[in-house]
Amino acid sequence: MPEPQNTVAGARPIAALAIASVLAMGASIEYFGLIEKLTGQAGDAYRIGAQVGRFAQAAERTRGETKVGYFNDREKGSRGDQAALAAAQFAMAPKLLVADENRRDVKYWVGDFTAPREFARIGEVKNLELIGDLGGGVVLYRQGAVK
Amino acid sequence: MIAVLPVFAAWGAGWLWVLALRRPCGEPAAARWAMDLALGFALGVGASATLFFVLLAAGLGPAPAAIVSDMLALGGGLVFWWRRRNRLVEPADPPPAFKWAWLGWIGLAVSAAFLAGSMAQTQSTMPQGDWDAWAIWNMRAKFLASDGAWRGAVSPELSQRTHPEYPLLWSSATAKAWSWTGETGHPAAPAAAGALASLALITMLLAGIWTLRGAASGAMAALALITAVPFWQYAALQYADIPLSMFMVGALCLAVLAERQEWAPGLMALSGVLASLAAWTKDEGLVFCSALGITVLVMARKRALIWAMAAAPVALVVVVFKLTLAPGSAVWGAHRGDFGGRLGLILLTFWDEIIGLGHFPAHPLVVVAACVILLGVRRPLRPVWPLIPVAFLGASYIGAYLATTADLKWHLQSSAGRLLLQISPLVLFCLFLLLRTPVNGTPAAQQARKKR
Repeated sequence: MPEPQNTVAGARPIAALAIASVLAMGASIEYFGLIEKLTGQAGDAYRIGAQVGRFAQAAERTRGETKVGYFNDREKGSRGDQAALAAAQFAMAPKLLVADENRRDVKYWVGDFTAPREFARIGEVKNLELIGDLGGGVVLYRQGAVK
Repeated sequence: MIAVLPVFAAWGAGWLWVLALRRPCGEPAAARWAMDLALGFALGVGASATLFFVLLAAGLGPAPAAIVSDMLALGGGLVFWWRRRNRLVEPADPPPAFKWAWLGWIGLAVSAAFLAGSMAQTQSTMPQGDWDAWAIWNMRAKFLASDGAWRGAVSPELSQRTHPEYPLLWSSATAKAWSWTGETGHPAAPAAAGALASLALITMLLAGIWTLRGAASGAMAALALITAVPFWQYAALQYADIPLSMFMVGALCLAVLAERQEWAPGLMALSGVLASLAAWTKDEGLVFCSALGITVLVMARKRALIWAMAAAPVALVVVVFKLTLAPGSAVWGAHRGDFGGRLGLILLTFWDEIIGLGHFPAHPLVVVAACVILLGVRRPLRPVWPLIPVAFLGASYIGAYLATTADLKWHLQSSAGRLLLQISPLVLFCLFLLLRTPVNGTPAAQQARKKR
């Protein structure tokens, strides 16, 4: 039992408890609506659920490889570029995505595009041979066959 | 359902260990159950995940490592609990009853219902969680859950934004569950673990203060946390900040309980393990673990040895990880000049985040202010020592921002709110320890007691 000077009786603790309880209930109702609205609006902002499906074929066709090259058509170093890389890395793990285009020790490369482009030509510039357009902006290349 | 079974197996194992190590101290049975279950979740999930990682690093495949780690934790817990079940002694020091505590229970029940609904809604919309969940913890868990690929989780070739240098407890917990079931990438296990960690955190705060200061104070502390909007935002997003906070609150609460029972060895051991699990969850946990260790050493002297011995195994894993596996990170560096400007921006951002913790009048500051004014503080103002590791953790946040090489504004925007979420439950725990305990009766009767 605590010392008497460290206890509080009467209306004060009841009021404290009532205030805490009412404010928490009010907050709960408000935050429930707020979170519902936020998740409804933004939802899965990075569409991460869809990324796994988008890169599934690329993962399947590079089975046995531990490292796969990666590039996208976003501005280098931008938030979009980094978010796309992180999303692709999540989808392709446990394969390591190598985003350094100067690397020559990686056999397969995945191109991640936001819109239809001349995929073969883009590959040629990077000394990559187009293997296939896997749909959804995901394109698979092989290293070094074209020069 | 099968996907989340490993999470529950780890919880069961942790619960048995807690039952064996934590002697009841006269608290109401409901408080004891709540505390044991919350601590059991933290200990079970954390310890079995650590064991899983150690077995992986020792060369075992993910599936055998998952099964062996859970079986060892469960079997060890069962044997330990069985051997110690008759040693449970009940030193009577119950917290005083308060007949109006039901007011708090109503608030908690209504809030819990809305919170559960909100978490379910978030998880249905974002089953993979938000950025940190999929880009860091669950992505790295995929490496840990794949045969022979675990080193990929710490590869320097991973993007810096995915932080391959971060500790691996939470990823290991997810990978262990996936390895059990073979369903790598299935969102159910990390979502369940994240949601249960949120509930365990709030339960620890409630039951910890309930055990030490009575049901009404415990309820008020938990209600104050519920009014913090970041808790709602992150409860279902699978960020590691919630489990980190859970480990830290558990460790601090157990240390305070241990002090009350003359530094009871079982409680000290549990506190040490949970603190080390915090260090294995995030770098901020390492700071907290060190600060709590030093504080316990100063307070408990020789008896701190048990705390240190219990913390040592996981702390060793963290040290070996940091020295041999974690890739270097260029996140910190010295900044010449503009110290004042940087500090000002940091403090201003934290102030904004504190104001943004709630929507007035439903704001943790309002709840806390009402409790401080109406309950009053204890005389003398004790115990103050639990505030030391918490203050040290807070100071380390500011130090980290001062030294960051990243764009400070971006760094603050992307993390200050989460740091506040990590530390808020610790601050609430310390604060409610320092407030007077509600008791039945009238002020006049209380005055008479004081005179006697």
